Amino acid sequence: MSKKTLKFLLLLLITVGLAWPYSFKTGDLPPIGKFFSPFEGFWQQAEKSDINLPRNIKFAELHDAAEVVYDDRLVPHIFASNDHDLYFLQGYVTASHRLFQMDLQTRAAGGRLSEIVGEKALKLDMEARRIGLKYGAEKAIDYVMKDSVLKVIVQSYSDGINAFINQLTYSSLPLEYKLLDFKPEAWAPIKTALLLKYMANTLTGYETDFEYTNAVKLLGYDTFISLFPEYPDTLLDPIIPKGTPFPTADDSILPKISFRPGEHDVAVTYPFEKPASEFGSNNWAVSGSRTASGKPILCNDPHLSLNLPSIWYEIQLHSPQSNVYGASLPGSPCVIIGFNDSIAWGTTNAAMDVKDWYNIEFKDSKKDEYLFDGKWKKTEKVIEEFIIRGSDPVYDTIIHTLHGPVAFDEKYNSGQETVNRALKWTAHEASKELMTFYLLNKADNYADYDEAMKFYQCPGQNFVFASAGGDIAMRQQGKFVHKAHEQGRFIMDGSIKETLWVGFIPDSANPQALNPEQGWLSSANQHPTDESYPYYYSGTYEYFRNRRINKRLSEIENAKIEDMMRLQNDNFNLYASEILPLMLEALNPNEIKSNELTPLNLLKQWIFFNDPEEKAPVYFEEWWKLLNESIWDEFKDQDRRLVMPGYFETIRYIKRFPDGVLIDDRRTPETESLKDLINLTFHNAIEKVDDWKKDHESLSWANYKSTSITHLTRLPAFSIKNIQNGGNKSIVNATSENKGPGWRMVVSPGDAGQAFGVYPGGQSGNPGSVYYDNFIDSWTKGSYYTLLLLKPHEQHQRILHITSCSP
Amino acid sequence: MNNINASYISPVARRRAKRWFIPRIIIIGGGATIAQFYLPWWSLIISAFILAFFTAPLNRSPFWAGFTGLFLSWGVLAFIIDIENNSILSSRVVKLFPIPESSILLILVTGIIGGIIGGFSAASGDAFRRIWMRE
Repeated sequence: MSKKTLKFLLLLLITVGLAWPYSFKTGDLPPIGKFFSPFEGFWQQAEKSDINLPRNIKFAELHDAAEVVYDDRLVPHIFASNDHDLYFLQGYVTASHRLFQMDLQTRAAGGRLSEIVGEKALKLDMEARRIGLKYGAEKAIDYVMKDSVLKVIVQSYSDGINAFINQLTYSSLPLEYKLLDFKPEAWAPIKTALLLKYMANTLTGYETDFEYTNAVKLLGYDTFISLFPEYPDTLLDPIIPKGTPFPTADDSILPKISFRPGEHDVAVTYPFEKPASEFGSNNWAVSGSRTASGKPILCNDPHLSLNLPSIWYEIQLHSPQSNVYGASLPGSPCVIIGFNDSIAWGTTNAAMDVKDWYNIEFKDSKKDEYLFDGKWKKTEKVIEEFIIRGSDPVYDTIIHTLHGPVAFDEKYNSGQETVNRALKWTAHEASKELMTFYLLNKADNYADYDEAMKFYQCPGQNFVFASAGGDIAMRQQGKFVHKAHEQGRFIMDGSIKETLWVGFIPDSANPQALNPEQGWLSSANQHPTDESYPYYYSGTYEYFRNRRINKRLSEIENAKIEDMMRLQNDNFNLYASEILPLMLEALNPNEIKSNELTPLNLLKQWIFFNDPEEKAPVYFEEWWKLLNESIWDEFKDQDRRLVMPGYFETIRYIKRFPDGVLIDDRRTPETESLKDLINLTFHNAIEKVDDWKKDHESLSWANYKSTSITHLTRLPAFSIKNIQNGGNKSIVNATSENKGPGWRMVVSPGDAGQAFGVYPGGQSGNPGSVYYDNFIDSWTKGSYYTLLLLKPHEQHQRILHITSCSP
Repeated sequence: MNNINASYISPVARRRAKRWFIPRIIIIGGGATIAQFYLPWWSLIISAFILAFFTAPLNRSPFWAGFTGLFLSWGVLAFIIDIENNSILSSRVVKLFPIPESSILLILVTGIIGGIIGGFSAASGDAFRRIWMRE
């Protein structure tokens, strides 16, 4: 071989060798040639600042001509002449802005993340299948597709998404697909069901059966119940105003056994990711008798993880049957929280426990039979396949019992004892929550709202309502289990029939109120009722936001829209106001060091607002956190899963039992009194804040809390950090480190033009778009946009673009 | 001429090779750019190879001609896109990589990535031609 041939071959080899990583994913690196090419790679997602939307689109699927009008915030207003076209276009337009998010969330729900990110997501995927998200979604979609109205909605929405997917080329693929190097698959109605089950899982995380079972064993029942009572003995300010009459319950059908933890309930770790219990929300409606305009005002701000793209997507849907505006969930048709020209509605989470765990006793290791009511009953086995990118598929056998899937067994138990626990959950039942939203979208009055509620099962929500006709209403709606005392509060024995659910609370008995005398109704994840409610329930409730909101609503007469906005952004720290004076009182003045004087003075002068620029909340929150940790050390240093008492119970415990046995920090040799701990944690807190100051520029609550809005892939590059916002969890403005009000809405239904909203994100999911994060500044400052409920062919100065759609 | 050592390049040939360097960049870069507007990115490999093959007698710096041609092809297009986008995208994407957070740097990196594959493709095409070329 000549030298020249050799040289050629060598160069060719280098070229081909380079072409490999240029074309294929290597490790975490995307195919660099494909990805960097400005002709088709990521640069193609750089949108021009003057947006380039089509004037006309032809869709073979449309029945009639339709229009998509974009306003200056890129909110689509869809005008169609029938339901089919309306939801087809909702699917198309939503996918055009949020496809990756829709894909990712439904893959997460279906336990299919490993298909795109490989082995690292396998545990999460197995968990999704084991708790029955796919199982529940399959049941739900079968049921939904039997309904002639919903079938059209779900199918045409799905077709719209596919119309968008089908015209994609590599060049026009959303950025995340290029980065992770995969392609979107066709949408199907089951994905909508998966998304709704995913939300149900996020919102029914208020189940603490394992934790409470362990706590009873650790502390004894009496101590346990004093820390985790079903109803607190003071300061209860329930959703349904006290004195509202309730129907009587028929308790004769309930089992008469004790549900307290028994011998079989061994303490184990809990292998599942648990949805945070800080997910919550506020909503309220003020009747016209208490507003300046004489018309009712409705407000809602749901608190979820703060993500980009945002969980919410604004849209207006107009057809001869309905005309609605609000926040939708990408992946589901209809508006979820919104208003039309007659009514407005909003939701907060009902924190009722609807997830119960049963201990299962198998006959042998084959797990073909399990003990129930003295007999061996057959199990049903479902083999789940997990396709894993870059490796062989994995199979997992899920065993179903009459108590639901055995989500938890020795295979999924971090190598602990052989325990088998089945999960019974209302989200496993066939249901069609979508019907509720469809009916609310076109509701005209209270009767329509009442009708819409009937279809709603899980996750339980507090639906607030207000109408142009002047009605305000609130209803905790869901399929709630009719339980005996303490049933489902702890792990239950699955081998006896007395622990079975005997039925559900009838819809008519769900806590509800219409036009109460006080002139307003509010909910903030607190108890739905006081003790006079005849049905047993338990859950994890919030005790601060509701009291602050109700106090303000009782003070504000002649409420204006601005007052309501201010209340949604209210940073008053009620728990600080209830405990800080006691903490300051307990400080020993002789032990205050010179560098602690300034913080101490700040705390003494603080009027309890967690405003962004304040310094005092930094010292307080750090001090309070450390104090909680040292009082509840019993809950921390265990190999079993436990949950610490909430702030409310902690404050109550400190005030009632300053010498209680749990106060002492057992991690230290000395026995500390409450006073000792308060002093100790004060010094430690100041030290911690001083440490923070060493590598940060300026001390303020916003900087210290450092709220971030994280991209769904968790890539810092596409996330926004250090948002300058106040509040915290358990404050009306519930903006914590990574959770908070993901949509704020203030509407006066029937009062044209009086609708306002904002969310921390932007309509476009594309990090290369100016509409990716353009609402964040307004949201941070607590300001709002006017929401446009446009009429067909209306000329409006805020219209940015009109796309005509034809068959 | 026949007795001249193969490695010897006459001053005339050297001047000619220099004169043709910039036109060669334009031929390879321009040709590959047109191809990439219609075909996938890897069409640049084939077009740079072919164009370097045909321009081999004119110039002796195929790698740098291919590199510069594709550096400009990718870099200039990325630059134009970035201007029209006010650097919204590039300022985010640059954070994905362990380089200083600068949009200009990301454009340069883009150009270099295009340049490297363009350079080797052109060098291969050129070397292929030279197997048979008498010099």
